[in-house]
Amino acid sequence: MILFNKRLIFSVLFFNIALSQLQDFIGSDICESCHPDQFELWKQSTHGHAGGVPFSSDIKAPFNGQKIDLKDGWFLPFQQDNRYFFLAQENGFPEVKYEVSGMVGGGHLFGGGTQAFFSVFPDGTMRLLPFDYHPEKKTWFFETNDLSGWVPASKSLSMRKLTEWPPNRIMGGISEKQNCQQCHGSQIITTFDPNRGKYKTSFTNLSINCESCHGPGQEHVSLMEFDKSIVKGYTGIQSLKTLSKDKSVEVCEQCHALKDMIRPGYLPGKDLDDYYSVKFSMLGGNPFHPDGRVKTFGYQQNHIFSDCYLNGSMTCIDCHNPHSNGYQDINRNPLKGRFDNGQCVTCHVSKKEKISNHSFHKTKSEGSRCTACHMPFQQHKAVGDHLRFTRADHTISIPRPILDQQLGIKNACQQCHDDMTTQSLNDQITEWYGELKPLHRLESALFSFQNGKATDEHFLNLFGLNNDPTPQVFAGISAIFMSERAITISETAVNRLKDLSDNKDLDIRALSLAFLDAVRGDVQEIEKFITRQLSLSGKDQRKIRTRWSLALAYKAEGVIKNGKVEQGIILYKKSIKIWPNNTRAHQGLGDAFLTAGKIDSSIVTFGEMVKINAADWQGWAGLGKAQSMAGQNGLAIGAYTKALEINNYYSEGHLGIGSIFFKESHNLQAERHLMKAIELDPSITDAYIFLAAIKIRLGELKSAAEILNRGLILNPNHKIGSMMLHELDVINQ
Amino acid sequence: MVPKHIYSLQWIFSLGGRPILRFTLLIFILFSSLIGQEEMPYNKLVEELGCGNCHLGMAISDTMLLRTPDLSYSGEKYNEAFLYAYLKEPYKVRHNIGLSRMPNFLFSDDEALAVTKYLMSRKNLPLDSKIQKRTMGASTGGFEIIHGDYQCTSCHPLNNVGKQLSTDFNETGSRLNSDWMFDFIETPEKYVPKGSSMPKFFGDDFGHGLDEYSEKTITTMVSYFFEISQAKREELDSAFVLIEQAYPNITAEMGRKIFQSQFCQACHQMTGEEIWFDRNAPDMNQQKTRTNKEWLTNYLLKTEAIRPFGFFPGTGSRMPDCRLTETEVNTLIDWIGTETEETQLEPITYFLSRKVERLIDDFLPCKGCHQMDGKGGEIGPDLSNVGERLTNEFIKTAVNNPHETLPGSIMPKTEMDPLLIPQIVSYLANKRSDNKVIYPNLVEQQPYQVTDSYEGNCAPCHGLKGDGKGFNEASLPVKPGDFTDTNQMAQRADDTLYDTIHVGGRIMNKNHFMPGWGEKMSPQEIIGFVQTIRDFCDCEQPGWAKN
Repeated sequence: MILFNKRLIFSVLFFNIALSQLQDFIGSDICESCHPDQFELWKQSTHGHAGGVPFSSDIKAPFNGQKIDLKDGWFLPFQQDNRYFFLAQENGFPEVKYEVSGMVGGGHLFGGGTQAFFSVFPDGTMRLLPFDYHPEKKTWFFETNDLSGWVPASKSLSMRKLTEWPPNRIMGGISEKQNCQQCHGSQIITTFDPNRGKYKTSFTNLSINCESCHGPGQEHVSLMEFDKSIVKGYTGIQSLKTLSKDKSVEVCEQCHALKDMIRPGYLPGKDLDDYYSVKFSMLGGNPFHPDGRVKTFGYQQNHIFSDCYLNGSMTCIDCHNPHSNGYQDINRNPLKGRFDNGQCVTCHVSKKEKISNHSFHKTKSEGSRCTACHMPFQQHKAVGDHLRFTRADHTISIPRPILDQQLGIKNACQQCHDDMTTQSLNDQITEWYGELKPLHRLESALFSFQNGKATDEHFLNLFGLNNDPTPQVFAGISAIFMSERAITISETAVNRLKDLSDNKDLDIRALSLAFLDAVRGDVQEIEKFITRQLSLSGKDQRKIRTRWSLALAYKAEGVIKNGKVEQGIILYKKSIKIWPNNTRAHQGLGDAFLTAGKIDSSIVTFGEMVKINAADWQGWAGLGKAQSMAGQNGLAIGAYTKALEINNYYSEGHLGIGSIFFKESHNLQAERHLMKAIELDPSITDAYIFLAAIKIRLGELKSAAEILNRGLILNPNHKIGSMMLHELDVINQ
Repeated sequence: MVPKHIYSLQWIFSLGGRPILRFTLLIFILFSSLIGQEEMPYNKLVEELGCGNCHLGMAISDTMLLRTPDLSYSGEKYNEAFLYAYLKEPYKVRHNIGLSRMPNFLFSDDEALAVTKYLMSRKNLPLDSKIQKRTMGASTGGFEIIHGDYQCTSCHPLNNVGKQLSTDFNETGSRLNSDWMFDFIETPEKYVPKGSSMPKFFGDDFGHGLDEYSEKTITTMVSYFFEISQAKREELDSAFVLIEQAYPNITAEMGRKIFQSQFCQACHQMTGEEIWFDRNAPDMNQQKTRTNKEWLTNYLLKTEAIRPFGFFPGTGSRMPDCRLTETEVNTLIDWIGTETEETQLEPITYFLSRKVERLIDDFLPCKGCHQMDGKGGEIGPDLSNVGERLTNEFIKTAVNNPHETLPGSIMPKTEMDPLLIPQIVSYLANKRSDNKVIYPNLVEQQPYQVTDSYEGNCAPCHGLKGDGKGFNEASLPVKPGDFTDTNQMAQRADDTLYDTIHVGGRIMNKNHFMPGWGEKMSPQEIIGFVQTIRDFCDCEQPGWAKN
């Protein structure tokens, strides 16, 4: 108990530290007093209007009180006393009401912008509501969970298909829930407050303010008030003009990138690498094609695959004015717009003199716009085809019609010449340009690998070298690492990985070490090598450890998904060994043990989890689950109780303890917890089933049938639920 | 001396492709040059010092050209030990040349030795004549002959008698070779211009040679000069032997380049030797608006390296120390005039200065050519103390429009954030430092003549052979591109090379110290550079880049 309390104190400390960091942020209004020009530009910018509290002038969506029917429910956006609400109901469930406490977006983006809404929930989280609006199409739409992408509201759309129904994705970066990270607002910190037993969501506002890019301004303001001679030129804030290429791009990657969270608590100004990896998303189903173009969904981070970035100096601000969000050239001269060739020909001056010599299109025509061919707007596949969500290709690619067709990409030429066949477009390009610039050999190798055509040589070519571009190297080794062929790599490949463990890129170093650990970690020489490499990583050691561990957890999840639970257990153990605080790995290992029927081992694993962090309610719940499966119901109730003492808003915890009370025939206690689980998460099927069972036990058959029906709406394939309903029907008949 | 005006205006021709601009500038320069010469008021000191022989914007000094010795036959004329000592520490030898003087080129020992060896190799006597080898004789009665019989002391000082109207006879024996001295006394008309006060005492005008008496008389005179200078000569010889031993590998060829690099022919005749420059020093028309008065005063009193590798980078030319007195400096400053109009600059805070420093260190090309506080290239002037050296107006115009402000300079205009330019100007205008650059050793760093645009603009970093081993390489954080690396160069498209030359190294992820030349060079000239690179690598661009 003493240990528990100590751990809890640390948890409280973490919470206080996380929130106290917000005091370093001063808000844009303070910045304006000294930097009025920049402030004025920003105020009119997309970032300046990115979001905020719902205000009539910014709301694009019609909150007109008109009910919109869906296949199995409805929703109704309305306005009352200058406040904005949604009423919604799924057939068979109670009506719910959400007040809009924040809105994000305003349809600003050229390729199709949207507006989304957030609401504060009882557990202190701010959650994304499922009701999105597409201003261009003037339609409400939903993100769906069946690969249909974004689908406009209609009577044919089932609420069961809505990804965010019931609302579950929260604002702010935390590891235990789906979340929007910290991107849709400024200085968003969502953290669990052990004092109140619920989350606290804090942010400066929902626009993207000065300090989102510049970092906290408090020190800067304080220093500037001192005698300048005291501070020797240190201004307490970094001028973004002076950032290196990588660091400059990193500022934008805070938001314009798919990032894997390494640990929570990131705020602008901190070391992004310490909290996020922008390449690890490639491990979980690579969202990019081998050449970096978006395969499913992505942001502008794929610019790091571009030749302009890899072999040039191109950063985001070489085209985008970060204050006005307008367009500029590398010398910061304003440009007319997003299609202005000045973005390109300020560097590619050889094309400037007579652009038609290069474009083979008339000088003033669209075909002579650099962006038309090299940055075509492409619909992101994960969004589907119902609504326009096209984004300019930031890999700045070369049109290759045949290749693009193979990848399912509408190539740049087709965007204007839709009437021409791919072959004829390809022939035309060949006639004009002859041999095209070849893809990087790593990209070619990855194409072959993905097409299943990889020869041994191709396979080895996937292991890049230290002087190869880092995104392509990571893409190559992550593809092999996550494949079943990982275990069969040759000694030459092992040696390549050894070399890559010296790479300048943290993600590559960590993944190489994780790879070696996963496939050869039991060989003494390799174990020594990877241990030595880690010890030599100096100040980067934590970043390497966390990434290494995370990679192994990814791999473990992959192999378990393929039915290789024992192999997954080994990988999880390795993952925990390299980073004992990896809750994802602990959770995964505990669950894997349960899957493998090793309940005692699962109990030990969850026990270790709560030893490391006594405030980890998920760990306590896992322990309760394992103990319950071992028939240790008394201990399990104790573990669940601790979980709920920490976080009484934890629906899984209420379900778990409710199910044990059910087994123990403590119907009232069971009912109370199961009702609470449903209140917190109306989509939690098992809670309905157990609750229905209690009702049956109490003889309240009508109520049981009603509850059971709701459970089966959520999961029509629930076997026990179906059997119970069948029995009830028989009884009622 | 044949001035090479073409070179000094070569930069205008590099503006090919912009004919109107080129023509306008040519006319402007020609007129301003003429106007400038008229505008610069006549000044006796400037004329006698021969400032205009090196500096643009001024007339060449006829006075100076008449007064300087012809060095075409210095190998016959001088004692090499004297020459060495004189080059190291010049002093007034002839007292009949007014304010004219031999300036000090601040030669190191090996540089002075190299120039000495070169000068000693020059034996082109006037009229292709030869000097007869003679044997020294008795010096008895030499003084009486010189002082009494021929009254040479009417002009030359000797043994505490005589007037200081010409060379000092007390050191003639240590300064000159005996055979040449004999020849000079016998036939002074070969060596001095008509109208000179040096009389011809011996022989006749028909080349009949000397009679026995004359021969003996001249021998006695020469022997006497040698006798009284013996100690000095031995002292010089001993010192010279030590220097020769210290630098056994120094050659006359090395000295030849140093001689040319210092534009000695601006004042001296050197028959048969190629001249590297027309002028090789800043335009004096601009001097008033260019430098701050206080700095210039100190600079003229004690010169220091500004452009360590020469006014035209690589040529190694130096501003010599003219050993000016304070009075002379004040005269020159008055003559140059003082800029009275103040140029208002954007205020710059301490913090903004640090930001500009970061930009200069990490993004801008300035330090590729300019040194600042001990770091950076040595092509252009050291900017450590630029705020003290240059006027605000000059800094402003040089940053904004270097081609017109610095005609003939290698400096290209750098395109940058328009908001940044005033900050950079203010930063530079406030730049103060005691840091000094030093001249490179011209024996180790052999100077070269700049004959084309590649040599003038690219070779300082990329080397005359394109191997990346230009003189500036040592001052750069990364090795300049090696154009002879066939493997590397064959992977680069011609248009990539073109773009890099045009916009600078940074856009190609190369070093930002490589400036963009697109504002200075014409497209045709840049295409020419690309071809030069292809010649160096003896390779072609990749196949995919050809269309």
